[in-house]
Amino acid sequence: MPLIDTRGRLFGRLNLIDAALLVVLLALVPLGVFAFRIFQEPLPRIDAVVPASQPAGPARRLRLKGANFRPYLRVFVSPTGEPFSIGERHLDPTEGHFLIESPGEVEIQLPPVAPGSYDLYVFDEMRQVLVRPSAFTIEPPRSGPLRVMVQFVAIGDVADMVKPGDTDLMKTTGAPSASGAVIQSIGEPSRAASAVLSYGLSSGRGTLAIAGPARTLDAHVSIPATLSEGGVWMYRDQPIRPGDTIAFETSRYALRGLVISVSTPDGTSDAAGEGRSKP
Amino acid sequence: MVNAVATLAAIAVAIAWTSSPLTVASLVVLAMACRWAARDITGAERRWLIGAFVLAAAARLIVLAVVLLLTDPAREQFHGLTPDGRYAILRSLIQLNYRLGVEIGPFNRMSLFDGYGNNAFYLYLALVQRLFGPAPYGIVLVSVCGFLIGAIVMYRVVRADFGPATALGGLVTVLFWPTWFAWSVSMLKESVQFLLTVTVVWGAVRVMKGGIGGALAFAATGCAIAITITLRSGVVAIPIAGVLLGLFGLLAARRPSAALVLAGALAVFAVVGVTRPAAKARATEEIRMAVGRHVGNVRSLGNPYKTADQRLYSDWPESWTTTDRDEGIRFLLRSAVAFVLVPLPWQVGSFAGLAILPQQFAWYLIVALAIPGVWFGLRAAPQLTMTLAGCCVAGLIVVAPNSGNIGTLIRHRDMIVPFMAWLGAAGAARIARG
Repeated sequence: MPLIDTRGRLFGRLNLIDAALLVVLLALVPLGVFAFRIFQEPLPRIDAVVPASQPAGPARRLRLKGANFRPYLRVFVSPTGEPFSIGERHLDPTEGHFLIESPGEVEIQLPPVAPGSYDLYVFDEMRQVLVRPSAFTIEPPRSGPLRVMVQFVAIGDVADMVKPGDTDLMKTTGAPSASGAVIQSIGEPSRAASAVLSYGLSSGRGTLAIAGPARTLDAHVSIPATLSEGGVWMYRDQPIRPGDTIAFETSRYALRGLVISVSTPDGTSDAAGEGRSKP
Repeated sequence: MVNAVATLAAIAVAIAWTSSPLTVASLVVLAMACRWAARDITGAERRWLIGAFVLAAAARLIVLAVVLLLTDPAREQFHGLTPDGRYAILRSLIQLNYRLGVEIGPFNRMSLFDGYGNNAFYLYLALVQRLFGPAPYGIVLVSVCGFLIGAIVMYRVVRADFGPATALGGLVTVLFWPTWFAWSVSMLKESVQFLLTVTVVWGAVRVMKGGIGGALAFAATGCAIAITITLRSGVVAIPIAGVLLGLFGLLAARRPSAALVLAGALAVFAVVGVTRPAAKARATEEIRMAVGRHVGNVRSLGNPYKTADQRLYSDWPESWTTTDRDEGIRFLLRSAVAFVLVPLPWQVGSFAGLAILPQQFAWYLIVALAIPGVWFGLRAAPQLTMTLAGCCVAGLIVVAPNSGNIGTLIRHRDMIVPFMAWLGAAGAARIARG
């Protein structure tokens, strides 16, 4: 049988034009699938947020694992349970930096966030494409009362004014602690010593030093400190380590002292000259 | 055979409609516009008209296809030829999502209701996409259609009064004017604004013929003015001034004595008004504000040109509030001259900017030819000539004192280039006839 017979039919059965039409129709199927895959814009998907929880601190980061991430996406964070809103247009404190590594993995530099649970909102240029409620948690920094042995240097008769229960009133800008350190117990004031007090001059050029009689006073102080990023216990912007100096002020007196030993809430302790010790 | 071709055509249309309904609808509109424009035209003029129109449309469609192909989906959701045009599309899609109840988030909501740069243009684009579906590429065809239909309507208006040669010469100039080509393939307001201005001009000419068509033209004119106000309120002065001057031209042609009385009354009114202290104070304030805008433009990024006294630039930002009468007059005169002449070849700041020079020389030629065009046109068709001239003068008054940047001036000046082009074509045709 000829391929095309004398009447122009394919294999003697199908008209050539009809056959061409059939081929076009069949070709449309893969073409349609191809076009759909090309032009269809799949929504991004988050499978996992890593880490789901992390301590508070500056420059927090997250990794999103999922699919269909694109570089032009924008991500915002909002405290869980609160309506998502923004305050300022150009300096928005709720937007994170979206750093895409692959369509399935993204790193996000979070804006400054306080401890708490947060929702994630993902936007393309013109609409919200994804919400992940309670996506991650920022834990409050580890804190607790430190039991600290301090050797205060008291000028003149100040040592006589110090009583157990006295609370530090010293205010420091950005102080993390709401309450102050409390003197729990004091020892006997030591023999006479001398102290050199140094004051910065208002002109900003040089200092004025005054030497005078003083006594040392050992005291156990309970200090509400927080553990910083670097693993240092901090109290009102001051590191609390053996060998550090500490200021203590009430409405009646002001003291400066030297940290001798520190006992942390989990029982470990550090002491000047002893190295790190196990409980 | 016929059935097979019809089937294939149906399949092709179905695919095209499924991919972009707005593209199909726009192509149908363009075809109808071309058919309407060429309905009673025969011979060489018909071939030239259809050829120019099809070539202009095809060139623009090719550019739009290239824009689509240039899209990098890994970097952007859609591509736009110019940043401003892309922003218009983006804002219209945000508007559309907002109207459809799709969550757009507080950031987009804030930008949607931001007063800066806000106008109804984005709302109209959203409305079109509500009808045809979101179309970040197809929506640019609104701009293409606006410009091409505006040009072809103006061709018909001019042809009725000035004849085929002037109409066709102006049409070809306008269709292939380089910067207008760029505006018409970007989603900028210019093309739609041009169509609205042309609608007002067409309506003012058509309404004088009376009948139902005249009533419809009157209604279309009103709508076009109303819509123009929602786009750029200041620009509405261009068609309105054109229409008023056109009506004055018509009056002068039919009742010269009445026109003389009217002109005299207006002159007396103007002199009395200008000499009143309140009017003088208002004029001074307006000139000072124009100086402030001009100096602000000069000091901003871009390629500036200066038309004010140097003191007003050196003592910025307080200087403009102290502009005196003589400084203001010098500023206005220099701005009017700059409106025509800028950019002079030595003012082009970059090598790429040299590309604008051929168009600039063509612009000088058009302005030169427009002078005899107005002279001869006033005798042949006073209403249309005065309307076209009125649009040009109003454009000069609105744009010249408020510019200080060469790029912005060219873009804004293009609003009157089509009208100047037809006046120039009238002059060229008259000179060619001898």
